[in-house]
Amino acid sequence: MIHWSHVILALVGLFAGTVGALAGIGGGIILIPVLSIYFGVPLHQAVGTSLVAVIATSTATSSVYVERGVSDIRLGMTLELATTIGAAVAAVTAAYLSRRSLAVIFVVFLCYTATALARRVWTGGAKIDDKPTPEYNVHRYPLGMSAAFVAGGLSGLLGIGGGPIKVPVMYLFMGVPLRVATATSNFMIGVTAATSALIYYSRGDVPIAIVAPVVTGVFFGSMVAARLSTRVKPRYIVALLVGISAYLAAQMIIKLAGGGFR
Amino acid sequence: MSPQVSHTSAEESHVVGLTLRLGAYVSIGLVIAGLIAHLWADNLGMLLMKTGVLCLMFTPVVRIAVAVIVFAKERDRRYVAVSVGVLIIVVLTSVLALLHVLPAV
Repeated sequence: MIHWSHVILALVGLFAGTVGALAGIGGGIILIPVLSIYFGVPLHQAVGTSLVAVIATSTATSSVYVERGVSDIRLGMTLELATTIGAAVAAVTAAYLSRRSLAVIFVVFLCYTATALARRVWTGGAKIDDKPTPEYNVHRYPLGMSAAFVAGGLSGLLGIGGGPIKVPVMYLFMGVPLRVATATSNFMIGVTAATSALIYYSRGDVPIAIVAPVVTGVFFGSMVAARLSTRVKPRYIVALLVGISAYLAAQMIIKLAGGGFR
Repeated sequence: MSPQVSHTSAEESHVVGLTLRLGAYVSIGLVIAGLIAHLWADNLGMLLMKTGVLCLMFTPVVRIAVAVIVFAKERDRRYVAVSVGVLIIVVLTSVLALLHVLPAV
């Protein structure tokens, strides 16, 4: 039977999918708190749902961006290698790492990128890639690979997606235009999420009755975002990223202050 | 035609893009069909939704395998190695985590 809650879940998915796809980070940071707080979904199941939603965002946006050549497949695959190795290393060493120190490092990183991104908008730098298909050369591969490695590890250990690390690193340090950075990040996040989603599924933490309406919403939201993105000015997307980074940093500081991440 | 922006050939974009589009439409089609079928037949609806979600979960993995084939056809050894590496790590970590050898991350 279809309740009103299904319609509301689909609408939440629509919103999370649109925002997540525009920023190139997936909608998890919206979905996890909304599902667990307002819908009373147990946290593990909220994470499981969010993982499937991330795959939906990644697949839906890439089905548009890859064919148009906006996602850089080679860059994406190269960084994916570092991300997956990072996640594997994190899994092996999880017992020996201090999650608290990692969370502090991540907060510092978020504050730094938020400031750097905000300065770009402020100085008008974000106008440079206003063209829909700018030319670019990828710089500083070693730095990007290291960042992707860290992103892969942190995403599992701290329960955040790697997007908030990958997009700013590609855009700020690797000379990748914003639109290509978000599209490439969207292309990549599905792979990392697929591994985790499979494990959550095997444990019964992917509640199909909740996932189905949410994913439908996320799918259409991501499709809309993928088609809209050429019309949204890069500075608004940068502003969105600044907002998300600041929100994530604040959330982690509160959690740290409350004695979380033990 | 827009100028070539990414460092990706038209063939790669086409084949990888097609895989993703196929995966996206098939899985979301099944999920929506399941949501509708759920109105009349609980079990059928659930089965369709489950199949759709599983299709979605395997799409990124299939996409890596397709990339391996495309790069191999272009004799681009470097990217064959990169994508085979990604595929091996993804499969290996999934299997080890499913067998409870590694904690899930």
